[in-house]
Amino acid sequence: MCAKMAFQHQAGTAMECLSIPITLHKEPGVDHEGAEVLKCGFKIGGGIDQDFRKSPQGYTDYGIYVTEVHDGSPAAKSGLRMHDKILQCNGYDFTMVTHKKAVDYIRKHPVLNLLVARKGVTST
Amino acid sequence: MKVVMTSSNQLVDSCLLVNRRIEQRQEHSITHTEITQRRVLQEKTPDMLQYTGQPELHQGNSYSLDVPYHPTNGHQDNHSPNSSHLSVQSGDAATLVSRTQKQQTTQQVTTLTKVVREVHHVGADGQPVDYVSHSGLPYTGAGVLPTSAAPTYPHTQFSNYELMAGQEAYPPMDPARRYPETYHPNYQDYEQYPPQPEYPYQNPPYPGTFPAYSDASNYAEQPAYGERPPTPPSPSERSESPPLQQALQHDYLQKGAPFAQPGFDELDSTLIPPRQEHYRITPSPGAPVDRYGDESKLVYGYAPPSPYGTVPAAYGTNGADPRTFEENGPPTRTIFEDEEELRKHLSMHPAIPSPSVDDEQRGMRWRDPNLTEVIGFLNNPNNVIKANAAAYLQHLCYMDDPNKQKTRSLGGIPPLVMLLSHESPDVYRNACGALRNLSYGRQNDENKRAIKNAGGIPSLINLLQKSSDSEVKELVTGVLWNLSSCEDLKRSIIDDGLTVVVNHIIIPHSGWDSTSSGETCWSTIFRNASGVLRNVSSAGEYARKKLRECEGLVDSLLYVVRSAIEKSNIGNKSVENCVCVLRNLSYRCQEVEDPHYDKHPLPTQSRVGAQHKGDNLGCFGASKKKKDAQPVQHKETASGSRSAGQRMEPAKGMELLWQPEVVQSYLSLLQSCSNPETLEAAAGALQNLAACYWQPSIEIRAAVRKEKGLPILVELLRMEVDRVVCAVATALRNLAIDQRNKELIGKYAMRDLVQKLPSGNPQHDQGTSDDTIAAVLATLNEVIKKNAEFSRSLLEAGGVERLMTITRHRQKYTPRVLKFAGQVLFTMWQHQELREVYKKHGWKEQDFVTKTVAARNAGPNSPNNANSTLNRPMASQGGTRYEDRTMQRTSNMNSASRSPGPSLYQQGEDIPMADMSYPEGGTHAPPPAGARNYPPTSLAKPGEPLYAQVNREKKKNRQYEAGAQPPFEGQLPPGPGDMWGYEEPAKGVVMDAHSENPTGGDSWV
Repeated sequence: MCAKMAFQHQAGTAMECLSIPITLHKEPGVDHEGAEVLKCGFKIGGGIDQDFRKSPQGYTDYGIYVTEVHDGSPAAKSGLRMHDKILQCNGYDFTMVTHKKAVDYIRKHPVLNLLVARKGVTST
Repeated sequence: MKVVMTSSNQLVDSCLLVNRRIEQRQEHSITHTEITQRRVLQEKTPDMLQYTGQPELHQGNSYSLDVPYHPTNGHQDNHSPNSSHLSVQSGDAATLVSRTQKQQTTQQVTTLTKVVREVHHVGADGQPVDYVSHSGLPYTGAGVLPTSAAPTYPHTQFSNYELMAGQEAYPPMDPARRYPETYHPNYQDYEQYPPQPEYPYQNPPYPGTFPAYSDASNYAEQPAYGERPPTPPSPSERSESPPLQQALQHDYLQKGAPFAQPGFDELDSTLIPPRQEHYRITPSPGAPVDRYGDESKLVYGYAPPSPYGTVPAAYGTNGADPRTFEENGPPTRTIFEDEEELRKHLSMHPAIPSPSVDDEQRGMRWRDPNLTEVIGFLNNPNNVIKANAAAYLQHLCYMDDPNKQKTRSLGGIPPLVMLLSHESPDVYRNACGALRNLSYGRQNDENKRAIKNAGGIPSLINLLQKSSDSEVKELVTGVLWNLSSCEDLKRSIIDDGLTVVVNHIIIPHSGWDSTSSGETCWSTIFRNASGVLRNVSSAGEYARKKLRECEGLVDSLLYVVRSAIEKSNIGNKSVENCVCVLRNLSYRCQEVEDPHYDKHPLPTQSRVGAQHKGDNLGCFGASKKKKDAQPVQHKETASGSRSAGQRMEPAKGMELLWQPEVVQSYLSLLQSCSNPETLEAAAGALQNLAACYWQPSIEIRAAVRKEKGLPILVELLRMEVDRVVCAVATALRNLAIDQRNKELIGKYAMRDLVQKLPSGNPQHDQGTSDDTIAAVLATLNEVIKKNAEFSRSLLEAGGVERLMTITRHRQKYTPRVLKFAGQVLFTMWQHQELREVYKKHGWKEQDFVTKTVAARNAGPNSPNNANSTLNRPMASQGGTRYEDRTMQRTSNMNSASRSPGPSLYQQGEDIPMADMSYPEGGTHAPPPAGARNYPPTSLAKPGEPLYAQVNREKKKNRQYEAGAQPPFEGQLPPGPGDMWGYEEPAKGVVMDAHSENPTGGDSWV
C-alpha cells in the first residue's frame, strides 16, 4: 500500500510512507559558464508541471525523481540513487512542487537533507 | 653578508650610516628579488616578479591597497583582486602550502601564510643553504617563539628590523611596498617578534648581534620568510575575508621588510611605506634623520615584535582580522596588528623602551611619539612627516576608542581634515586612513561630528571628486560611510555629498548609464558608497525626498539589483545596501503625491479596487494543481492585463520604485537570496510598497500575487531568521489588504501563520519576536475579519489555543501583541455562526472577548466596523523613529573588543536600513478611552498596513555574534553567501524532457 502511495501519489493528498533520510553535502564545482557553484551531481526530473506519462523512465506520478547520479559525486556519496523519489528536501515537501521550484530548493542550500522513497526498499 | 654588517654599523651610527644602509639594503633587495623571481616564476605570478623588482612595487601596492580597502569598508565581500592573488599563489605551490599549514599550527603565525609560502619556495629554489639554515632557525623560533625561542629569532629578526629601519627611514613610501617578497622577510621578522614579547627589550642585544646577522642577515631574513610562508593559513585564505586578511597580513609582514627595500626606491605613494615611515618618523621628531635610524629601529623592533606576536593569534582565531580590515588600511593593518601589542608596548615603553635601546645600542634614545606629538607632526612642514604622522595616528587609533577620543580632545581632527586638501597623495591618503579609524565605531559619534565641524564632509567630497586613485576613493567612501552612521550628519552628507557620490560612483559603477559597459562594477568603492546611501536614506522624509529626486539613483540601484539577480550574485554587501536603500525609499512612497496621505480618511474603495483588478487566484503556484481553480493561462492573462494597466511610457527615476515590475526583482531576491539582510530588505520593500493607499500600491499588491509571490513569502515564514520572518509577515499583512490576496493567504498560509504564534513550548517560541507575532496576528485578523471559513480554519489549525497562550501570559508579551491577540479572538467571536463550534471545543465567550477588547471595539471605529482599519489615519509613520532606536542600540554595543572590529559592526549597525517603524495610530483608532499605553510604535493595529521595520537590536546582536566568525564580512550565517547561495539556476540542463513543458527536462543540480 505504501509503495503504491509513494509512487502513484496524487499530489496534494495526504500520504504516509517509509522514507530514507539522506544527507548530501554539496561540493564546489564549476557550472557550464565557468562560475563556481556547489554541485550535487544528480539530475532530477518530474514535477507537477511535467507530464510523467511522457517520462522515459515511466514514472507514475508528478513527484520529483532522481534521473541520474554522477559517479563519485556528492550525491553518489550520500547514497542517493537513480529513480529515487524525493519526498522532502530540507523540510520542503517535494511531492507537490513544480520542476523549477524543486531545482531552486535543491540549489538553495549547501547541505541537503532529503527524504526519498525507493522502490523495493521503502516499499515492497 | 656585507650588507648586513654595514647595516648594523649604520644603525648604530647616524644619518650617514642610514644612507649607506639604504644602498646596502638595495643590494639585499636585489638578491632577494632574484630569489623571489625564481619562486614566482615557478609559482606563476607576474606580480611576484614585479615585486622583486622594486620599481614594480606598484603592483604590489595595488595589491596591498585592495586589502586595505576591504578593511576599511568593513565589508569584504568584494575581494576579487586580492583573492585572485591569493588563489594564484596557493594554486602554484600546493605542496608548499600544505607544509606551511602544518608549520603554522605550531607557530601560531597563521596570517602570514601567503608570504611565507613564497619564501619557502625561494628558500628551496634559491639559496637553499642560507635559507634553510635561517629558516630553520626562524621556524624553531616560531615554534618556540612564545618564550624560549627568542634567542635565535631575535637575531634574524633583528637583522630584519635593522634593515627595515634603515629602509623605513624614508624609502618607505613606495606605493608598491606590499610586495610580497620583500615583505616576506619582514614578515618573518614580525612573526618572530610576536612570539617574543621581550624582543623590544632585547633590541640592545641585537645590535650587538648584528654583525652576526649581517652575514646571515639577508638570507636570514629570507629564510625566515620561507619558514613563515609555510604558515600561511590556507584555510582562512579561502574564505572571502581571509584573502583580505591574508593580504593584509602579507602586507604587514612584507611591509616591514619591503619597506626597507622598496621603500627606499619608491617613497612616494605607498600607504604602507608611510606607515613604516611613521614608525620611524615618529621617533625622529626630535632629530628626524639621525635618530631616525636608531629610533626607527627601535620602534620597529618594539612595535612589530609584540604586534605580530599578538596578531598571529588573532588571525588564527578569526581567520582574518576583521579589525584590520575594517579600520586600518592595509598599511595600517600591520600597524593594527601591532597596535594591540603596541599598546602594550607603549604602556611598557615608558620604562623600558628607551633604556634598552640606549643601553645596548649606541646610546640612542628614542621612544614612540605620544599622541600629542603625533598630532603636532601633522603640522610639520615636511610632507613626509605629515604623511607619517597621519599614518601613525591611524595606527594608534585602530581599535582604540580611548585614543580616538583623545585624538579629538587634543585637537587632532581639524589638522587631519586640513590634510585632506593637501597636494601630496601620501598626505591626503594617510589623512583619510586616520579619519577612517577615528570615525569608526558607534561610540565615536563625537569624532564624526568633529570631522564634520572641521569641514570634513566637503573636503572628503572634494577629494572624492578630484582623485582618480581608487584607493583614495575607497578610503574616502569608507570615512563617509562611517560618518553616515551618525544621525546628526546624515543631512549634511546628503546636502554636501549626495550628488557627487551618486554621479561619481553609484551611477558609473552600476553600469546603468549608457556610457558604461552595462556591467556592474562590484568594487569596494561601490559597496562603500551604497553603504553611505543606505545610512542616509533612513534620515526621514527629507532624505527620502532628496534621494528619490536624485537623478539616476533609483535607476542605478534597480539596475544593480537586476543585474545581480541575472548574474546570481546577490549575496554581497553591495546588493544588500542597494536593496536597503530601495526599501527606505519605498517607505511611505505615497508621500510624493501627498505628504499627509495617511492623515486623510481613506476611501474605502481603495481596498476594493485592489481586488477587482485581480484576475484569478492562480497565484499560489505550487498549489495550483490542487487548486483546480486557475490554470496557467489565467496567469498569463493576468499578467497581460497588468501590463496593459501600466503606463505606456517607460517610467524612470523615482517612479520606478513603485512600478509593478519591481515586484519581480524583490521576489527573485526573496526566492534565491541567502543573505538575511537582503531578504529582510526585499520583504520590507514589498511591505512598504503595499502599505500605501494609492493606485501603485494597489497594483503592487496585485502584482505580488500575479508573480506568484505569495507562496514565496509564505515559505519564508519558516525561515529561522526572525527579522526576515517579521518583515515577511508584515508584508503579508499589507498584501492582505487585497481581497484576493486575503483569500489566498487564508487558504494556503493559515498553518504557517499559526505556526509562528507561541505554542507555550519555549523551544518552539524561542526565536520569534513580538514584532513578528504582532505582524502575524495582524495578518490573521485581516484574513478572518470577514470570512468565517478562514476563522474556522484558524480554529482548526490550533490558532485559538495559541491565541489563548498569549492572552494568558500577559507578562510575557508586549502590550501590542496582547492587544492584537485579543483583537483576533474578538474578531473570531464576531462570526456568530461559529460560536457553536467554539463552544463545542470548550470555549466560552469570555475566552474570546475580554473587557478591554470589548470596550475598544465598542467605539465607532471598532475594528469590526467594516472599514475602520482603513478609515483610520495611517498614523504618522516612524520615519524618524529608527533614529531613536539607533541610539538605543548603543546599549547593546559591546565593547570594541568585538573581533570584527568596530567598523564592521558599526557599519552594519549603523546602516539602519530604513527602518520604518509601524505607523503610529494603527488603523484602529485609539480606544475611546485613549488608553494607549504602548509606545507609539506599537500602535499599529492589526487591521492596518504596516511599514517595514528593522529590528536593529537584533541585527546588532547578530553582527556581534558574527564577529566571531572569521570573515567579518561573512557575518551572515551562510557566510559569504556567494559561496553557495547563488548557484546558477541556468545550470539546469535539459537532458531529456519529460514533456514539452517549458520546464521540461531533467535538471542537474
